[in-house]
Amino acid sequence: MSFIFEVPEVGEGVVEIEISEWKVAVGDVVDVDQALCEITTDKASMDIPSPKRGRVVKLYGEPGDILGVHTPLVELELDTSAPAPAPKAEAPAPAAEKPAPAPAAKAEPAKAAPAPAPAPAPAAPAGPASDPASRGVTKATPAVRRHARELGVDVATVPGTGPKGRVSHADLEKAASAPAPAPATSSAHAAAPVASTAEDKRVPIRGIRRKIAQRMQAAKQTSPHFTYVEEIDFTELVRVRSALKPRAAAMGVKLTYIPFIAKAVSVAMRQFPEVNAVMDEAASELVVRGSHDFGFAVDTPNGLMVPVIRGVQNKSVLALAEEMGDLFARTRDGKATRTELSGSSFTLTSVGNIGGVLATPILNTPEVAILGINAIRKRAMVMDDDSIAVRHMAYLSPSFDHRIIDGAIAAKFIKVVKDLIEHPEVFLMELA
Amino acid sequence: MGRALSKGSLRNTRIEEIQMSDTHYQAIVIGAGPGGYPCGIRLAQLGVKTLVVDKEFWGGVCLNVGCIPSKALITAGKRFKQIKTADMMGINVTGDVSIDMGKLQEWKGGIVNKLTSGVGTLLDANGADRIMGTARLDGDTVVVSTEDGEKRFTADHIVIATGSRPIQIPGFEFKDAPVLDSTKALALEEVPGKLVVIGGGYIGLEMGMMFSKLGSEVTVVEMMDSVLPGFDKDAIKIIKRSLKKSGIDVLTKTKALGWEKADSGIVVNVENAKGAKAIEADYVLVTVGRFPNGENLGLETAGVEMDGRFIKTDNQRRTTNPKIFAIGDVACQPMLAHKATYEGELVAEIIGGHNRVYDARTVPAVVFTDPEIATAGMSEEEAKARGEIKVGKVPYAAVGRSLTTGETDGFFKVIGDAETKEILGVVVCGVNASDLISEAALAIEMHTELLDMGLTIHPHPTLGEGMMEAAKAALGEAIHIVNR
Repeated sequence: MSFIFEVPEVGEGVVEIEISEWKVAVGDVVDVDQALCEITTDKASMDIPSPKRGRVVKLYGEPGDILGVHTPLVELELDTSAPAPAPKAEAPAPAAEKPAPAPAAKAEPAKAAPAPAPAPAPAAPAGPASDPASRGVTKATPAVRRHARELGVDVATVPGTGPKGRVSHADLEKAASAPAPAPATSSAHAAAPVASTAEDKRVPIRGIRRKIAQRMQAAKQTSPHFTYVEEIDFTELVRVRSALKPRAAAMGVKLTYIPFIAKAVSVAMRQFPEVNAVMDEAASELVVRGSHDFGFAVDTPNGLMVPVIRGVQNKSVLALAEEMGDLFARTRDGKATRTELSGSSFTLTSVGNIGGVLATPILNTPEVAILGINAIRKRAMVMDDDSIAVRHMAYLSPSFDHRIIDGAIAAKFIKVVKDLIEHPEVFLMELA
Repeated sequence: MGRALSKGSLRNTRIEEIQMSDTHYQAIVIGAGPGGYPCGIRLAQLGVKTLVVDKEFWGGVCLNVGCIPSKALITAGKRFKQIKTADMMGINVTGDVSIDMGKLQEWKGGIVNKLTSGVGTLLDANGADRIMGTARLDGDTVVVSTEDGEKRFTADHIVIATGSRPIQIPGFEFKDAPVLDSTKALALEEVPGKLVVIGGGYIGLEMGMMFSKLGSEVTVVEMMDSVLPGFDKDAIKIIKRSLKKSGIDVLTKTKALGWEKADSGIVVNVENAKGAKAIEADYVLVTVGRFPNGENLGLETAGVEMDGRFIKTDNQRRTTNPKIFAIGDVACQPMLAHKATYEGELVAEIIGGHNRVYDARTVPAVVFTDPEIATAGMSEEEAKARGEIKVGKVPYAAVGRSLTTGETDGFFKVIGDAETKEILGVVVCGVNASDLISEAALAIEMHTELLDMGLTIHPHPTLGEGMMEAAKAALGEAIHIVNR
């Protein structure tokens, strides 16, 4: 008996997977729970175990191919003791009911002829890309097309699980809840390095890289953004943080500079609420967000992710540090939930860890601003009294959507942030 | 035509009060035709403070001097002919059968009045304001010239739904009494003895056939080598046969040069390869197409660009000024009322804050010739150009109900993708085709397969069975014709 194993639901909101490597070949006999292949989703890579014992008859796809959830992955012949099965007439054709001679044989199943065994039931739908039914047109009814639009999902990219690859409302919901791929800075995160050989190699843009590519392109195309750079004297904050670090550590919290910077930004936003906003392109409206929900770009083994800390305006530096420690760790381990990875109103990205003087971040659209935080380095500075002192300096390089934020606003906003960071004692006045 | 439509009776008086204090709207819709009025209603339903402006009629050309009145007269023409030919069913009409054009116009006017006052009532009931006047843009401001002078309004969003008008050609000016555009033709208080129709497209043939039934001697003059250029070849064959049967003279590859007064009536001068010819007539009707009303609107003051004759729009019908939308005939082809309505509601929802896009797969088209033609989806040629197809064609004569109407000329044609079996296009030519095509449009929007249509039980005895049969014919499974 033949059994078609479909791509299982490997995670909430995961609508497609990429085959990384087959661990079995056609003809192999596999046991229950034996790994069939390794796959990559936009979140993680994992092995897919076989649900049944059987002989592998067919593998659907090559490494690098993308398959929709619930599309065929592997065909197994379950009764491995039996010899290769001869095609047998399954499902008696309702020929007797037909007054006219003919059609039965003409009906659909004939197409499946080359398969070694008759497929059970109507063959499972193939992925949308390979579905000839659509010939390049995504099959979706008018109601589904409208729903897609409302969810902000491009219906053409949604794998349909309905008959002949038809996109259902459920397919859309899944696609819509897929994680928003992270923003990246233009300097960091080039495509995975290609093995250095004498020959050119073509690397398909797949999985999370494809998502990132789409998002970056969309951000650059829809939003004319500019980057503004200011240098900040961190010396005072370095001192304050060193003094507080052991106290935080005693409470099990790792205190970095990021919570201070986030807090400074949040305070500055009280004067410039339009920086904490997202664009509703369809309505040509700016949605100024009431809550300071900050996304933080985090480099993970699976690519760049943006976990979100909500309500920054209501949280202390210590609380932020604690929440960041926990959330960022879970993000790196691929354990952050969908909700924790979406819905930010402003993004911060630290870009100096590896090197470089400054980077120009690309917006995490539909947000209208992102803050690039560059490395703190000691530099010789000319002080007010013309003396030269060694100071801890860093550049902040925020990018703003110029449709909304003018240069003057950007400069004034960053001036407030700078003042707070350079004079950390002002935070005392912010205590509720 | 339509005395009852006098501007005074339909002008909204509430606007005067509004004028006093408030000249800002969230949305202003310019034009109250089949695009503008549904747009205004939907906007108001969504809670958007809306003003609808029209320069002459609520309901636009379509309800007042287009689709609706022409169908009333076409029905009358058909009824007249049916009475005269009823003897084949054993109905003997004794005495004179005659047309009282004045009374017919009165009946038509009543229908128009009912529909257009309904439009006004709906706009009011939903809370949209309306004003009668000619609008133009002055930057962000909409300036409306009314009987009481100029009024200025500002708006967050503006929807241009100004429609189109009949194209005038050199030598034939609509201001001259014997030269008719469709509007004037539909308002005639007499049946022309002889009528020349310039333009053998669908409007020309609808009107020409209608007047022929009412008793006119009709000549159709067409520049191209066939009437109904661009339509399904098989449908054109049927229509040509019908034209011939009703004694309508069709001159193709013929150019109309001008007209002049004659002893009785006029003569229309035409020219073709055979030479020049003067055709005697009482009226000459010019139906060579429609031109979008995109001029004199002050579009340039608002940064709204044109794309040829049309206003340039994106797939949300947004113009090059993101505050301003354009819908219907003034925005793009096809210039059909139902497409305008779809766009009107689409744009209203976008302005109302919903994420929408024009993503209809097909705009069905209907032609009220005798017999009618209705199409949805791709033509046979378009489908063929795209890949291998299967075509099922069933004549009306194979459908029982068709025989009982006494009108058996026509066919159902269903075009499917040979590989996927998806229905790509449908052509129906025959009696009541216009009422049959909606099923096909739904089928195409739903990505239906030939077999879905073939296996859907259609009630007997109806004309709709022909559609089901044609879908089966495409698969070689039709019952009532010999499958090939």
